[in-house]
Amino acid sequence: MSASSVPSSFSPAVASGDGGATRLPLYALVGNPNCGKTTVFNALTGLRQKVGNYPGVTVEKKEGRLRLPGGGAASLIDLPGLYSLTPRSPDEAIARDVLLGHRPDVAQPEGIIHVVDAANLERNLYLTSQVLDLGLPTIIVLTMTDVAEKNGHTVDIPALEKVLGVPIRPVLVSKNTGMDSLRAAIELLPTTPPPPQRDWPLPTDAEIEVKELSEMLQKEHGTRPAQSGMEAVSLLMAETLRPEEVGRWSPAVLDHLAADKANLAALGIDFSAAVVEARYAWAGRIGSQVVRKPRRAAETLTDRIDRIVMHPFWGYIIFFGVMAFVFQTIFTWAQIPMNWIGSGVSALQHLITTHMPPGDLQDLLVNGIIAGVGTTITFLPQILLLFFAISLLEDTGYMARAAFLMDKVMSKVGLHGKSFIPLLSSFACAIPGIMATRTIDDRKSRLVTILVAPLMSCSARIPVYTLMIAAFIPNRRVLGIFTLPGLTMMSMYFLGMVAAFGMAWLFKKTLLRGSPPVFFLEMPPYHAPSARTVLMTMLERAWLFLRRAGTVILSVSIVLWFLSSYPKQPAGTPPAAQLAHSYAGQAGQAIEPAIAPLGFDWRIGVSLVSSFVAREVFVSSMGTIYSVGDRYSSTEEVTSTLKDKLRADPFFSPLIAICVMIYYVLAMQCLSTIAVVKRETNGWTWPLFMTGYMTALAWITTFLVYHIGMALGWGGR
Amino acid sequence: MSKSENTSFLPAFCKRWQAGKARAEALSRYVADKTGHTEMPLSEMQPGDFGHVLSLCSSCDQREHLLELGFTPGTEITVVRLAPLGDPMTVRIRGYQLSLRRREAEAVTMRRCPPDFDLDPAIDSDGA
Repeated sequence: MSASSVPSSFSPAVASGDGGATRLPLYALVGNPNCGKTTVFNALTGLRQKVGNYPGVTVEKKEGRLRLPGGGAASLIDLPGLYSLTPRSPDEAIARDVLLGHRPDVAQPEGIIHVVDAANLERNLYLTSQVLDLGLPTIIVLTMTDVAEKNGHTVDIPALEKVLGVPIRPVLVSKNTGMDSLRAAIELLPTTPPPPQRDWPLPTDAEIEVKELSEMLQKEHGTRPAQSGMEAVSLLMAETLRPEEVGRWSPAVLDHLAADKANLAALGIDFSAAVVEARYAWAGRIGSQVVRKPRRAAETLTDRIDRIVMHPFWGYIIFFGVMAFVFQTIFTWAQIPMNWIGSGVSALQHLITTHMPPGDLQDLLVNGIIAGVGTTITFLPQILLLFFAISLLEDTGYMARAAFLMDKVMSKVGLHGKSFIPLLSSFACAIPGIMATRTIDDRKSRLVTILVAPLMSCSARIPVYTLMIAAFIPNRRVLGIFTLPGLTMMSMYFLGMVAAFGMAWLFKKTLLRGSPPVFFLEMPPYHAPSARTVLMTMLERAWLFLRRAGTVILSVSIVLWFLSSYPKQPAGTPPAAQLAHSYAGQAGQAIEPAIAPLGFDWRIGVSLVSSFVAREVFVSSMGTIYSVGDRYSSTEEVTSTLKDKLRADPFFSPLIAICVMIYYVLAMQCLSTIAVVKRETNGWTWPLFMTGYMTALAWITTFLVYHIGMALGWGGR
Repeated sequence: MSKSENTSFLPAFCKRWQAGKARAEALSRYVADKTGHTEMPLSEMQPGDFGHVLSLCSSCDQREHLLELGFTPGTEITVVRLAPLGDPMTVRIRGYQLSLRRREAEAVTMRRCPPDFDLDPAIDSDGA
């Protein structure tokens, strides 16, 4: 997994792309969130990117290869956007460790490409002061110079270059200016002298401690002199060291560090505050030297838009409009390509059935492999469209506003304003919803959001609700305008929402307790979205889904096909008997004792087991059992005749139908979701926990509803 | 979210009203000094108010984070808006807009300038 410090192991993408040729220089791309870093990364590397995870954590690792004008190449690692190198989140810890060369799986970058937002120079320079402290050859890419100009700021680039002592390249990706000059500068990066040592002084006593400790680091650990000062400062700043840091330093260093901290405390010096203030003073000094701006900021377009978009009344109207649009996109419009895929898959199945002799192989191909691939790719339209919407919202700057508007509501259950979109998306399908939780920085909030997302009623539950409602809920009017079936459907959605928020609240109170997530969110200026960024995000998500979750979904579909087709019964056995005697059927019968208290019998049990592939399989599976078509018939065909059969069956009653629906609202009946959660949380703990708690919740709720209903005499028909 | 708060309208209303009164009382405690400046937590400032950071709470969880976001003593801050539900709030600090919950904003003690105060250019640009 890790451990190897052989330099050539740092970048498999490059190694494989190159046929294992000589190692390319590695540069890191560093910058604040919202500074245009991703746009620069995409412009530099194009499609030669590779997205993965850092081992053991859910931080995304993005690498790309960049061609240099002289014919050479370099690999570029895109670090998560950060405001500071003081690690506060896993993202920041990773970025810092990569830059300092402390990651076993990534070599220390040979140079840094630091993206700085010209419209926001002073705030960005705070990070710059830390980046320069690393003492690595650095290029500064100045973005958003057009926005700065519009706001009336002029940045004196030659003056800035002179104070910072590193080359600065202004770049406007949208207008395609400055890219060639940037590439040329990157080519020269190996020979670029490292930036001068820090020139923000600390109080004398603090300076002495920094100097002592950095000399000790150089002696004890052979830390580069240029980097040792930075290491010393960050060690002295840290209140407690992370476990991996404790192991990194010798006991002598740690002892010295503890003594230093005690000494500083005795002197009454707040070291962290002193460092932060010194850095900001430095940034402010440089800002006032090189940026000329009007004394009072003129009202910008962003301010004017925000006056409407954040209005107490219109703001929410716009917000709900935008959310309705997102929801419409994934719920309705995604149906169109999904239906194309559906008919494509059945046409292919039909083609093979007619042209291939029947037998096990044909059955495997048609109902195992093609059906499995079909299941996987039906998710694609939703994922593509959701990420189209999300990256549009992120790129324009609206996402931060949406989180701002929703934060108060979400904070009632201990969540973050950013949890709203993933939960909303889960109404269409939990899979894109769970993938969308990546925008939540707070680890616990993200995990809670993932855990409750599948409780939101997804579109795959609709066929189950429709069948049960059509069969057992009389079409009666209530209060003149509502109908009983409509109200039942709405109650199911409502139940899912209540369960999701209730469980989120419970998890935040118990298992994932922690201080409420801090909500520090920059409101970036609005700007036109970049088609390239939006497209790249869509493609990246789709590819990640296909590669990681798709493979699991496909193999699980094949396994479930096997379980419901074997052991083979003699030819001529009716499909119902074949299914009842298959492994899946046997499993359904085996679990009957467990589900009998819920009022379910083995037939529902079989359908529960087989609908693990996708919830809507419940309908076709019940259809098979009741000999309405076979398990390959379409859901609509089955529902129309099956509802009469179910109504005629004395076993079923409206109460049981309600119980089935409630069970489907709450139970984790979806292997694809489990596969995605496994990928997003990097392990089996959380998907298994999720399956466990949801099944328990579903079982207990259904049990209570069934027994209370029976006691009240609602069990009749 | 306690039970008694939701059971009937009247007690809930009274509670709201009392909370409002308590808040007004708390606000009346922030008295302007001779120069018209008022010392108060950032969380109590209203949209349009501006002032300078005086200090941060000495031992709260978010102290260092707030410092790193730019809330160092002397920094000029303008409250841009409150979210429609009253929380979080957006402030302008060091040329950018940041949203934070009032819980965190409580940790920042401000020196609010009087409304008609014209910021002296010498205060925040070193006279360059």
